[in-house]
Amino acid sequence: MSDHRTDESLMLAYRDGDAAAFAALYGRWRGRLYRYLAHQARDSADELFQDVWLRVVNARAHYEVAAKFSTWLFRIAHNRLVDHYRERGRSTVKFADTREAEVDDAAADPPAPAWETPPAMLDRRQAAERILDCLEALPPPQREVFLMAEESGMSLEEIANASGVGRETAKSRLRYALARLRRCLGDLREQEG
Amino acid sequence: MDEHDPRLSAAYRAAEHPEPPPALDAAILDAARRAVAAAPRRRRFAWAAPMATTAVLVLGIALLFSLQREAPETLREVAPLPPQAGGQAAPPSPPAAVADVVEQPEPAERAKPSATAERPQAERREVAEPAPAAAPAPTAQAVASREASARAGAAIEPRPFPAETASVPQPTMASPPPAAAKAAADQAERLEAAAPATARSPAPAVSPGMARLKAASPAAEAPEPWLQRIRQLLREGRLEEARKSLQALRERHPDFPVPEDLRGVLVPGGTQ
Repeated sequence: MSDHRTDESLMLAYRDGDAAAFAALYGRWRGRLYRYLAHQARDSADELFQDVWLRVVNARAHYEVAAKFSTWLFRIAHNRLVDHYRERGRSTVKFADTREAEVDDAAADPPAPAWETPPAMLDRRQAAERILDCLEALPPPQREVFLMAEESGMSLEEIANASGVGRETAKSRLRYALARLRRCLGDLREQEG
Repeated sequence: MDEHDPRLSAAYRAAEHPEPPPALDAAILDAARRAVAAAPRRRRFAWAAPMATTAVLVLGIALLFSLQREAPETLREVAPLPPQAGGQAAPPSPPAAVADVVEQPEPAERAKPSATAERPQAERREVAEPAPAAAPAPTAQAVASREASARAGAAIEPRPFPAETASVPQPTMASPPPAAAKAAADQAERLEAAAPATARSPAPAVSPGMARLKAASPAAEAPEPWLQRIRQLLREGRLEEARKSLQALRERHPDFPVPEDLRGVLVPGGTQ
């Protein structure tokens, strides 16, 4: 039995006391949110995941549809992740430092990797096996924006809103993330050569 | 450069990803259920009850302030009474009250009902005013009755609409009927006339008895019924009393326009 209500309607219903509405909402977003967190803080994914949902529960009384539910949810998750980094000693300076990496990316923007060309296309299964390693190697801001894009279905503007940056910053981070991933997979392809 | 790479997305989706453990799911769902179970279910018009409560509180406070504002004024409403004071009845009505007791502190005094029996004759004589209505004479019993009426009026009587006033307006709900009021007024006149010379000596400005008498006046009444009583005085030929009452009304309600038919009353010697 699927619920055809929008995320926002479900959250409003939960605000008004409908626990089943929350269950439906949770079912829609549990996997995506967990993956978003797990690929950035694997060891603490369970804890962060629970914290984010409990914040959703606690905020239900004052919930208003000021933005898409996904934007709201991933903003909570982003903030919780930042707190986690700070607790672990990974300051936001790390995020700022990635600007240098992004500059390097821009300067050394490679052509399409060999694995994208039809004859040498990387086996999809291999790519799937490798991409998570490549993802883990990304600078955190780029990794985050890539995961947001993949998991939430949000637009660049919404991603920027959720992560607290401008649209152009989100755009450049995503662009560099894609470039690095392609390069990483290309390098792996070449290594496997 | 495009912000979306379909092949990377496909590779990402095809990867093996971790999932939240079932126990974690259960814990979160349980927490969500408990949160709404503990809170009352929000109804469509959940705002109605708080709004109604707020409205009641606001009205209650406004009424309280209104009563408090009117209550002290009953002790200040005074039309100066000449010693001869036409021997008119001392009705329960507030407007003219007692000459000497303007300065008297009110609330404490209003709280005391009877004790009027001890009031000296002089104080009784200076009893207020000629306002018509059902006023008991300035005897101990009459004053006690007036005080009771005043308290009743101050406590429960809202300002009446002009249309609700009788031809002989009653300032309080406990006022006796007009016939009885007239009889009481007559009695007051006889008492005043019988008062010995000593009674004419000026009473202390702030005697306790006068204070109580002043406190007996009901709460300030609306201008309209007050005007009706003034007109009644004029019809009865009690011009001086009508003038004093009108002066007192203007002091009480300075922003209330004097009707045209009564403007001539204010002029000393003016007749209606």
